[in-house]
Amino acid sequence: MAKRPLGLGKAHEKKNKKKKTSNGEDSKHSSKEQTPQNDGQLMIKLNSDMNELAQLWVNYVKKKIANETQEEGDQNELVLNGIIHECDRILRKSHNLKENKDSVKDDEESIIVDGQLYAIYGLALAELAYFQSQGEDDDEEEEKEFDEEEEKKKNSEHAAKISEFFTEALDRIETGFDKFPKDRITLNWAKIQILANRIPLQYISSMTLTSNKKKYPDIEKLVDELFSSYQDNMKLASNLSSKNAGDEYNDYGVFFDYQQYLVLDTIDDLLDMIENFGMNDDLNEIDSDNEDEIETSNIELTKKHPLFVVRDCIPSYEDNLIEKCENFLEHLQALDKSKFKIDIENSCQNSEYKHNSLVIFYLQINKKLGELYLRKADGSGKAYTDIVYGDDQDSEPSVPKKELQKLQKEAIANYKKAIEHIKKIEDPEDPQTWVNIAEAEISLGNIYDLDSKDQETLYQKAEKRLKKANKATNGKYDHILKNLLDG
Amino acid sequence: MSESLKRPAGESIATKGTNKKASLDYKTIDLDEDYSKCLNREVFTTEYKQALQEKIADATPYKWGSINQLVDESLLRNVRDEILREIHFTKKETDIYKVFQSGDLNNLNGLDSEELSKLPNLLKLRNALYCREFREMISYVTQAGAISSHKYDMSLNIYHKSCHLLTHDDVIGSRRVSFILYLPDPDRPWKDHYGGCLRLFGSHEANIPKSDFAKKFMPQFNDYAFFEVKPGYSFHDVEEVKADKQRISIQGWFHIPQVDEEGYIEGELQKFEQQSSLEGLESSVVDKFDFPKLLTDKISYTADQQQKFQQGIRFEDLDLEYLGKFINPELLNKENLAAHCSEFCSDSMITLQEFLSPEYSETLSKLIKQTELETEVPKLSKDVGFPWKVAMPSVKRRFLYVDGRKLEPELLGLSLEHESDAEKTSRISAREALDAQLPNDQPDFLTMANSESYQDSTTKKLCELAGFFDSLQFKQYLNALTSLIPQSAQKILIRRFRPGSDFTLATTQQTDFAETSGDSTMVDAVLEGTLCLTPSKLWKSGEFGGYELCMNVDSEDNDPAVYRNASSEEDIIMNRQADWNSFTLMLKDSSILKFVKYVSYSAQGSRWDINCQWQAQSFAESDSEEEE
Repeated sequence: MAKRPLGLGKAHEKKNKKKKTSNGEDSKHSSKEQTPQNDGQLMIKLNSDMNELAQLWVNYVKKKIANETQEEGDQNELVLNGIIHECDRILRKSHNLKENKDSVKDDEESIIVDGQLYAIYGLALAELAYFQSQGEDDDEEEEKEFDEEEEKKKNSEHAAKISEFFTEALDRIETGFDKFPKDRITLNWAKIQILANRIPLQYISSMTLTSNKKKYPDIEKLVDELFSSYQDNMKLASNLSSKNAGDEYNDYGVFFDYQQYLVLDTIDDLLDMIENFGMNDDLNEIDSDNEDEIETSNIELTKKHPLFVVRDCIPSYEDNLIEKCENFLEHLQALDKSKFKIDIENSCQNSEYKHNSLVIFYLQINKKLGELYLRKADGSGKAYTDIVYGDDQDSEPSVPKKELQKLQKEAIANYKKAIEHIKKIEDPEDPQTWVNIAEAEISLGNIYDLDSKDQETLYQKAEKRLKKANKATNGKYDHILKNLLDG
Repeated sequence: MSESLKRPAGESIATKGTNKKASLDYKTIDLDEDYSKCLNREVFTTEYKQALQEKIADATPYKWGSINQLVDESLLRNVRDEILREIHFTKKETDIYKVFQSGDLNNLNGLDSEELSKLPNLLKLRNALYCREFREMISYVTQAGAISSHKYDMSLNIYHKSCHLLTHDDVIGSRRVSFILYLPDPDRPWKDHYGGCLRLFGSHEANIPKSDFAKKFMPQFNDYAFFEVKPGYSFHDVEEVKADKQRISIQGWFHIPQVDEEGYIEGELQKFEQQSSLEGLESSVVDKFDFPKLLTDKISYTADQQQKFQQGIRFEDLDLEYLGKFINPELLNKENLAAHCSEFCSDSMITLQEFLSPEYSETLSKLIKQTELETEVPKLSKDVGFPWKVAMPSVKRRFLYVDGRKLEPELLGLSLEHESDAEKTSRISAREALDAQLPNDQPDFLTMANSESYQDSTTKKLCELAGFFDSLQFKQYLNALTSLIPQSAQKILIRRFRPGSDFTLATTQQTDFAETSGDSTMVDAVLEGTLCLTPSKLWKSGEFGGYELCMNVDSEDNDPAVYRNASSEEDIIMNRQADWNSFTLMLKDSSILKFVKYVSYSAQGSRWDINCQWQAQSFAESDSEEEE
């Protein structure tokens, strides 16, 4: 018979005592920990033919796309460091083999050095720059009390560090181009991704409302270059895929798609950051249910500001981005029809397909398109409602009727598009997705003529969804529902 | 088995460090100088005072009042700026609160003159709030008695999104009147759906606050709320802040006059101090209203069964077919079971992931998710229907539970908040009719699981599972897993912790069973199992609460706030986030302080679990080295 257990308190004391006497040598074991202790090593299941390094990268990106990274905390930085060490190790090993310093044994792992490796190396380095900026923020929260001079010094050291990461990242890509020109598409995606990440992290993050464009590169030019490089690479990629039209959607194709999606995602974040520059501090204090407050928090930039010009181009950039996202969606649907036998539209809420790359892309790109169309619709929609229901609604509108109708038509078309996309990501287990649809329906309803049948139908649909969501969430949407019903 | 609270829930968060900084810095200001000009002059008029006095006398659930726009607006705006500019706030979180406190500046009494010089407006405000005219006004309108002109204390707190302070009565030392002055954004009105309201609770009896609040006060800029501190009655909480808003507040107290002060009454302070929350909470009246009751039912084994248990249940003796209906077959494998037993005997704790069989887990997960998405969770006690009950009192715990028994007469007869007499009558008769389905007062989960008149499939499935935990076969499995013989079963509870509402506060348990029973084979600890069945996501970070935390405290230490000082990682034995299908088994002795953290309003769903406890017997040898 086993010995009588001591009781948790005594067992814990015993353990602590033992730990102290053995300098913590025996602290590895335990199933009672929330996450298994792993001494800094990561265990990731690898289950396809994709090489291990690419799989590590894709796993990281998958989590990033699905927004699961917030839950992982320090694990992500650990993963990135792991990827960088692995790239470094492979390159050294390859170098040593070439120099005949190491001999190849039978059980030796196969070493693959190609453009993909350099692309991953560069991308991982650029991602680490992001964690640099996050780390600084955390420190700031913990300790506020340092003087201005020290803060400046710290900021400039921080900026230098971030810049160093990007320089190193781009250096890896250039080496890749030199050594593996055949892998230029992969390397191009990586380069665009790094350049797109560099704009917010290295430049915009250091700007204030009083920054002067003379101290920064031409941001508009940089963004233009991103779009044109994207276009060029798409052409290259389509040539390649038409040559390999009969091929299966292989791991390399999946990797391509992750790269392409990440670029679209990064550009989207970048545009959002430019558009909302200066509003960050106030944004949290704004009510989602109070449009007046949102309006007052728009920040005017001076002509000398590095973002002044580029901010005006946002609508055309967003149109461009919508086009690219729609192309990507078409590409996914074509793939689905030709290579997969899953019904992507009806499978996306099936937990069995939760980690299927095609499903992940399909959901994410629809989400993005929904958001982009909403932003587009909000522009013309607000202009329209301001004129029709604004302060001067009793007097004749200052805008010609035809112009007004055009605004209305444009807003309706864009809200409809937005709803079409966000309905595709409606999740029966996530009430927030029901609310997103309801809110878009309310926005669309607002554009239709007052008390029209269209408006009433949309409000009723929204009410139904909101009531359902409210029931499921302990009344979280009470205030939105109240606004709708009171209105 | 009695349960004792290691700390007074009534202790305010703002008092940390008060003892250390008890010597007040009288020299820096003249309290009786008239600062009242910084306050709204209208409040000093006879008409205003008279009207307020009457309003407070009639107020429910106890004597409280409020004043709108109390302070000169520009002064208060300056105070707000000063607070945000000069004071560093750090996040503090315990079982009862989550708040950002102002480090050393927590209690303004403790500041030296250099520190105070950085806060001229705050100092001016403090002097105004404690000036003679205002003190007299507060004393008059509350009719609470004289207020000390010497002893004053104020502190600052910021509640960000998800911050909260659970129910307490503010009774500490000589506090006579509590007040709160609110300083959220002066240019944007505070809205109801931001949360953060001051909520007042009525009481069933002294020290037994009702589970639902009776009144709430929205924290608008420059509004001032106050109430008489009444031991056992002045229960209140701060509703969780639900939006990304800063709810800044100045919290303070007026005290009973001290020795040599005008208005001092000999013995008054001692009498007041004797009525502290801690004492109240340990009184027998409180035990009467403690639900769920920690009753134990002696388990009857046949002589043959008892003998088998004493010899130790062998793998071959286990009813694998029955166990396999519920438990993951992987865990019922001989080698795994032996390994788990060895781990438990060494650590007195084990967590088994994926505890239920995949089929059972999938069915139950679907049902619970369905309940969460399609059924409105009852927020008020009056809306909680059979067979669920509300755990109470809310100074110790609040959650929904099913214990397989009829509703206790004490619970049935309670007057609930927000309930009319007609509603009460109808509730009682409906409940009595449903309770009649249970054959007797013993736990009977299986009757409920199979009842045809009761339709909620989720609860029925959970009852089936609770019935399994009550089975002989499961007790045999427990013996194989722990080498202990379950002798008395405490309640098996199916629990649901609702977002924005539920929690348990830190408690320890008396476990001197060997001595009290005179049986040395009884283990001086409770075997506790918790099967966590929370299907929603995003619990991992702990941000939304709902986690179970265990700390090791010295059982000899009677300091009620002791667990707070045990900040060292070494003292935290377990911090388990809510998750799906994990079973944690622990042998909890009297040195273990345990609580389930308040579940945030922003959590995606409730924390669900099945919790059970057994007194256990062991014929195994003790580890003599460890017994020393």
